[in-house]
Amino acid sequence: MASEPNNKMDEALKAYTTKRREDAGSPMELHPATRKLLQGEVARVYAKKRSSGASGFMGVLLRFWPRIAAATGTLALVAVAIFGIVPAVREQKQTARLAPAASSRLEKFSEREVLDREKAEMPALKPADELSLAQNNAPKQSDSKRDTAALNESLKSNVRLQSEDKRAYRPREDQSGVSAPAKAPKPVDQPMPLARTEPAAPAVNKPEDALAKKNVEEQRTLSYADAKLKSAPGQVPLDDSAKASTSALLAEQPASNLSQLAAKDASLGRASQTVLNLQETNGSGWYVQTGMQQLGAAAPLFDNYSYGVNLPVLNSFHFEQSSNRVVIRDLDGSVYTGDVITTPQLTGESLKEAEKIQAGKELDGVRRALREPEPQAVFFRAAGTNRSLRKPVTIEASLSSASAQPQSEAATPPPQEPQSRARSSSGGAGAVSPAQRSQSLTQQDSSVRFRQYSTQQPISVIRGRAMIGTNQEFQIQAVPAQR
Amino acid sequence: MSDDKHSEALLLSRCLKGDAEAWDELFDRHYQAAGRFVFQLGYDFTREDVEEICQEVFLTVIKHLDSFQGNCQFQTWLFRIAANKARDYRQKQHAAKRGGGQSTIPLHPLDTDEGIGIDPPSPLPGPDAALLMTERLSLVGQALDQLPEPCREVIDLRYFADLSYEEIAASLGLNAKTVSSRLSKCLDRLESIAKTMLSAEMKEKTSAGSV
Repeated sequence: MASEPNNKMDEALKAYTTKRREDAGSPMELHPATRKLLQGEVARVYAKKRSSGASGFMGVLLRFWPRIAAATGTLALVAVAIFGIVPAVREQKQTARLAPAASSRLEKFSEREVLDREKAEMPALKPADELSLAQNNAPKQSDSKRDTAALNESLKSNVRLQSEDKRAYRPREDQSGVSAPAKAPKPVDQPMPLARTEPAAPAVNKPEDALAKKNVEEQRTLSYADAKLKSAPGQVPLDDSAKASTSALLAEQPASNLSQLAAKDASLGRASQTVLNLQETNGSGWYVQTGMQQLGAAAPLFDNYSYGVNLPVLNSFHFEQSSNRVVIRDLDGSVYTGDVITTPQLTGESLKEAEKIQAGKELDGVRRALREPEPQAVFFRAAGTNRSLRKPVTIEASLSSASAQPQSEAATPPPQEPQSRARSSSGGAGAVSPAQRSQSLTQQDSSVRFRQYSTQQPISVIRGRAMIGTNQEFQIQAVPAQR
Repeated sequence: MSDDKHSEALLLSRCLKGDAEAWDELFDRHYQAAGRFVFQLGYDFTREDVEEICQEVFLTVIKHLDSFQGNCQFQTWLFRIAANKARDYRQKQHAAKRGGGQSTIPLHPLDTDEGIGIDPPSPLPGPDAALLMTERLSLVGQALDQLPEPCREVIDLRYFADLSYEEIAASLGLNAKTVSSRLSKCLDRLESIAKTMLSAEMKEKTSAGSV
């Protein structure tokens, strides 16, 4: 402990303290008035503290209500801002997603120009394009077998089609004994149908084993056509390379197997359309016809006749399908892109539509009797942003196509019809003589002709539904515009 | 000692709950010490001044008892409040005197009807000695008033509150050695102030005598 350094002042202070304590006199007592005042203050202060502290949460709420109110208001503002901004950001992202689509569309346009130029060059090949090859060409049997083997490898299915020699090609008129007139070249804007005869041993000249072989080949052909129509009904796309390969194939081996070509188209194609049709020749076999139509510039325009659509969405639109890719262009410039979907991926209305189509197939017999074309449906799902509404639009629909030929005109058999006939002929091969067969086929002379895509444009109906945003849904029932 | 601390802690906890009886007990326990302490803080404080200051001190204790953290004894905390209130009161008093303010009037009426109170014989020394002593102590008191606040606080707690260095250190949040050195310096300063005042007074008396 430090000693007192200043003794004089220490003593003086002690003396001062003693004197002051003596001056204070008797001990001071708390005056009752002062005590009452202090107790009143105690009651006031601690009653308020008790009331504020006793109520717990309510006390805290009452004490800090301005801060709580400010914090709550701030949170509400932030929440409103977030809920307002997030959809806008989503729309921006969708717009950004559409930008590459637009660029790809431009690429497609340029691609179309190239295709159009090539298409203009194609008429030189026209005379060689439409080829109907007769079946009975025995020296080419080895070629047919070789092509069939190649097809088996490429398609990985049990389909085999034998090609026929180009020299053996004869129109029906030839087979009926009338000399075939020189084929007039087709108009330039028509698609290029390709036809190849189905291989079969000549029924007249060959013995029974040849006839059996022919029946087998017919069945294979029909099964291939069936599979083709089911998997890609009426449409097998073709791109530049496919087209080039097609041209080369036609130039080098015009009578090669069309199925092989179609399979190649299916594997490569994108911007064109291939239609396979089966035609029966005069008692000699079946033709497989391929019609190609360039898409893009001539994409069909659809009008939506669904009731109650008062929105600028899909009232009239162009529809394009390239391979599994679907592009819908609305009149306001909106582009919806998507993919063709298989049945297990279908949902909602599309699934119902698919079920309807499936149920319709059960009426196949009735259709055959009425010569009603079988509907072929392509289910697709597309999405995009509508430019007018600035909202995302999702489309789930099916493109059903059927022949537009009137029912009264029984000239062109439906695709299934030759199959049934082939089955009947193959099943009753022993019952129907070649002469009777030839006669019946002669009666159906008018029905044995090429089904060209351009002359028999299929009626395409798009049915389905579209969803604007997340809660606005409407139906689509669109048919090609009559313009 | 520990029992006193424990009982004091219990008393303070009861006071914090608003127990009126606890507050009465607290007033009875500390009012006299606080009054005596305050009376020493001013060389011219009257009992009325002390009562007024003590009232302010205990009102402050009631309002801010929850801020007492128990770092020191409650009485030490109370004396610090009292020292601050006494300083404020002195400053207010001096301001009133400078501005020609009126002196305080005692609330307690005189006992006699004529207004003349009982004047018992004083035990103090004779009038001359008493006068000298009074003048000397008055000089010390005036010198204390001129001390800066840190020095005044240490001297008040040491001499008027009778606190040890450790208690002062705990109360002020200082080291005990720091308190000792600060007290030593403050006493030196007090002496210099007192000498200055004494020399000035002597000069006045000399000049008055010569005149």
